[in-house]
Amino acid sequence: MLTKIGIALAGATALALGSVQTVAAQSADEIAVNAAKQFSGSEITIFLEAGLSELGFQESATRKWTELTGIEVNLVGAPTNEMYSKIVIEHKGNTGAFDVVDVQPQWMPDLVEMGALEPIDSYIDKYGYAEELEDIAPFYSGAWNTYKGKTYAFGDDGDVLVLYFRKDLFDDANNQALFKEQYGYDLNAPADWGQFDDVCKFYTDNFAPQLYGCTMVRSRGLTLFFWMQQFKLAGGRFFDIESMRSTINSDAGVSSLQALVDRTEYMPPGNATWGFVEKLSAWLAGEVAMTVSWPAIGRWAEGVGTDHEAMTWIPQTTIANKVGYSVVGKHPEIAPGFALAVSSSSKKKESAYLFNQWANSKNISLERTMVPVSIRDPFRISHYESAELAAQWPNAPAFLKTLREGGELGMQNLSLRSTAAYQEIVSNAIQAAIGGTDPQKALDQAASDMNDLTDRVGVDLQRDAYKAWIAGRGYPPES
Amino acid sequence: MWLRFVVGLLVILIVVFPVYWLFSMAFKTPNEIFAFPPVWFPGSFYIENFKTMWRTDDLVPVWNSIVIASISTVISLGLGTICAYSMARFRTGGDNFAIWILSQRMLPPIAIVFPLFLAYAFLGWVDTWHGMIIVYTAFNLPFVIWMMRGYIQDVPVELEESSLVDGCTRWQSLIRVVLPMSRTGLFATGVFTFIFTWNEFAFAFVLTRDGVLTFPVHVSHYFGALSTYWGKVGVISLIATLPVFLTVAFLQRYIVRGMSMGALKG
Amino acid sequence: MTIATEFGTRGGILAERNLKYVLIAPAVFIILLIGLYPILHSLVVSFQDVSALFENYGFVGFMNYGRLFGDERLWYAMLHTLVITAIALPLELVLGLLMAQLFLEKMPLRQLMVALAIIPSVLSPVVVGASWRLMFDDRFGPINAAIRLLFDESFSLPWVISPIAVYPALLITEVWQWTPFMFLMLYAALSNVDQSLEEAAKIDGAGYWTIFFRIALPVIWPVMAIALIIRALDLVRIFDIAWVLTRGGPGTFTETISIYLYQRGFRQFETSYTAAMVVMIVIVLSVVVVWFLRRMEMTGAQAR
Repeated sequence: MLTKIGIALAGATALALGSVQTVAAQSADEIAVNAAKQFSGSEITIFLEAGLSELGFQESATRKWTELTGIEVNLVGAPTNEMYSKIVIEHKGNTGAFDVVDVQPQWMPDLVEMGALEPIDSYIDKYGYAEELEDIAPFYSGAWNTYKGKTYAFGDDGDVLVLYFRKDLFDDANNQALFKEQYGYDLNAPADWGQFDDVCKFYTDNFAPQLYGCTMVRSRGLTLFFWMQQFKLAGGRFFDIESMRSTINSDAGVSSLQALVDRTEYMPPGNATWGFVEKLSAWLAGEVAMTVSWPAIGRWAEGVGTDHEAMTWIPQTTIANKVGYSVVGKHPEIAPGFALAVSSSSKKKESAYLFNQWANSKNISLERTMVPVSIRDPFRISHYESAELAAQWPNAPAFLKTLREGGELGMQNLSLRSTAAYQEIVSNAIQAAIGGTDPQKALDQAASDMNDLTDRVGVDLQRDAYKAWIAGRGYPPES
Repeated sequence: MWLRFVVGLLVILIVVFPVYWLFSMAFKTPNEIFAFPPVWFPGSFYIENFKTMWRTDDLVPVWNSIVIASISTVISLGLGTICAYSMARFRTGGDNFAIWILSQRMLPPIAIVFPLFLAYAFLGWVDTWHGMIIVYTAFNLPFVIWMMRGYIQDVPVELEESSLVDGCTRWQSLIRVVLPMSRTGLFATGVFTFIFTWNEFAFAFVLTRDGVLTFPVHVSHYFGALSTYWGKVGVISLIATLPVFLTVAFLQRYIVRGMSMGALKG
Repeated sequence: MTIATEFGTRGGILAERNLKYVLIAPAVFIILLIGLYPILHSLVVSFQDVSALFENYGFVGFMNYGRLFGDERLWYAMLHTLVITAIALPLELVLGLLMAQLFLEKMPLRQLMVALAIIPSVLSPVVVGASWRLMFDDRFGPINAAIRLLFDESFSLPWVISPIAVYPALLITEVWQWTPFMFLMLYAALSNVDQSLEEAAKIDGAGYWTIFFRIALPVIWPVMAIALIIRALDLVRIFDIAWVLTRGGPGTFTETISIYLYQRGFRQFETSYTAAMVVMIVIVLSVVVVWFLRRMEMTGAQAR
């Protein structure tokens, strides 16, 4: 009798210990999968960027999710520039059509205040995600995940704008000698925009039309991120914090805008109207010495994943193994990025949340950044330390290091109330200047428009949002 | 005639060159699309894009557009023509009614699409076949009504009067006399009603998600922030052009001179 | 132009007196079904203060309309739109008419050529805007390449961002895409012109254009006028082509009314303000169209 009890007790203890072991060892993605199985047979709808992103999600995430949990996934895409309006429209119509929404963090203040996003702190606790959340690099969480103390999203894409340069051209002894002769200092990856312009001029003056110094996007939706970085580095401030009057037309603004316009002269002909793909093709064809851009360019220049059937639109790379990585101005811009959130009008919030936790978890997100067609860039500490990512091409470790440092020192792109509208105003000014308008005039107009908008939004409201953004490191730390 | 032919050929060449440029993207490799100097002819018969799109669901939106545009065109033509007849022959509603109809076409779609979305959300018509067909029918009716009113006014009243004297009802007269006489207008109006629906972007973008994706919205997805599928754009544009092109090419006898009214002059 | 004839009565729903209303009923129903709510909504909301940030449903009087008058950007948008309409419309009319006349007579391959001529209109405006933008590209585009080949090797012009070249670029693209509309509408109308009359005039020694103006034009005038109004209204509402080709740029240089509406309505979500804009647009356009129609009726009456 006692032996029986003894055995039973022993067995029970072993069982208990065993299950404790299993729970402790479960990773966030496993927890999510197990919890989601209860929803097997149902369906969730994910709203995200159309085109390559959609394909990437399918390949790297949703197919697997359906296999593991039995939940069908429906992808609804919209062109990047139209995503914001589509989310707002569906929210205003209270349709509950989207469960997961892939948002750009700069929209968070508006979306949360509108009530479009669901707070997910309770789910994080319930499903034990807090630990893996810590692993997300601080510059991609913080303001990306939380707003006014509550968590709404998981930062999911490490967009940092770093410098890519042709090592082979910079290491060339003749180039080095010539540059020293013409500019008086050593030819290196430029440390600031002044040097960047010198180097750009150098290559163009000496080698055009075979080679130009630099190429950057000049199209409407994307150029403003690059300009904003230089503006902020030059000491520019968007507002006077007391009056909340726009100070975008200060000397810093005018000089950085003028620099942007002047720089365009030294880019390949036609660059003034180029979007990302045009610039990418010039870069991959080896026609330029430098570019500042998104991390995807780093992978694609090395030919990583470009033979996938979804990538047939990319021209062949001629510069594999020739690219070096650095940062111009020490503090790169972190823009725009994506974060996975849950729609507040969704009828399947828990199921949506579980997908987000799974896709964003350490293990799964690593896989996703390795699937090149997903265009998700490394954003976790564990990504930067991953041996697999470092093995993608010979120079990948340097790439990861630059991305990590860039992120650590980076600045968040502007995020206020009604961000999209402010961005349009700034874009107008930049495009006008590229088209020949005097930068001072263009920025004066922008300042005036910004003031009208700020008055519409409410000065005090906007000041709070502005202060919160500054606290999240919107401006260079030294200032 | 030969002078006309040569001039015509030149005109067509100029008009069609940009179309050729676009379609050639379907057959060009990315290096050729972004080549400097530009490549005038695709170097090879590069058909990767066709193969890929055939395998995936990329061509479904073209079919969706065909269905929606066809059905709403037929309904618009039917309802619009009889309305136009009433306005042309009886001056129904007078000028005010006519202006009101035309005013429906003064509204920029993006201006009214948001309240329309709210209404549709309420009715549960977002992203549905009937929702899109009804929207496009309503969108096209003013055009059909006004164009057909003009074409019907071109049909001499005497012809109808003589048929009525012969014992036809108004309705029969409409079907047997007026419609055949105005069939060139009907054809031209029908072609463009179809085209307007085919090309429409604003309504389609807001009122669909992924269930009833139409071709213009689907094409816009090829223009991403970091990617542009020019090859697919070329392919889908080529295929999307076929329905209208073939219709106009083969049904041209409906607008060709021949059914002249001279025979009935008298 | 029309003679409403009463030709006896027949009973039932197709009776003469009822027929005219029965004929318009289904069309009116569908138009109302879709058109009524948005315009009512716009009207109501224009007197409120609704946007993405505020939801003040109280009556605020004519505040939004007052703002319209002080809105410089709106007046510029109207100017830009007017310029585009005033240049594109006559061009499309003349080119369309010439093309219609050209293809009216038999010639080899006519069927094929007419079908080819329609294609520009069939392409999605998004695709047209994007592909023309690439065509105008200084480096990758065939237009500058051709100019370099034929004229000046050092030619360089960033069409879509140069203040001088952006309107020509936009107009070329627009006229290219929509001239086929005027062409086909006029082609259909010209096919109805009584050939025997034209033959008679020719025998009498009348010249080509005299025949056109005296015989063909009066006949096609109703259709031509309508096509002009429709096309004009579409030009006033131009959006897709302009947005994709220039994004309203450089800056706001080619910002049309619709683009401005889009910015206000879908970037700032200023629902009330854009509603006021819509109401104002409809009123202004209605006045203009009514004026034009009155003139058209008078001219048409004269021509007959």
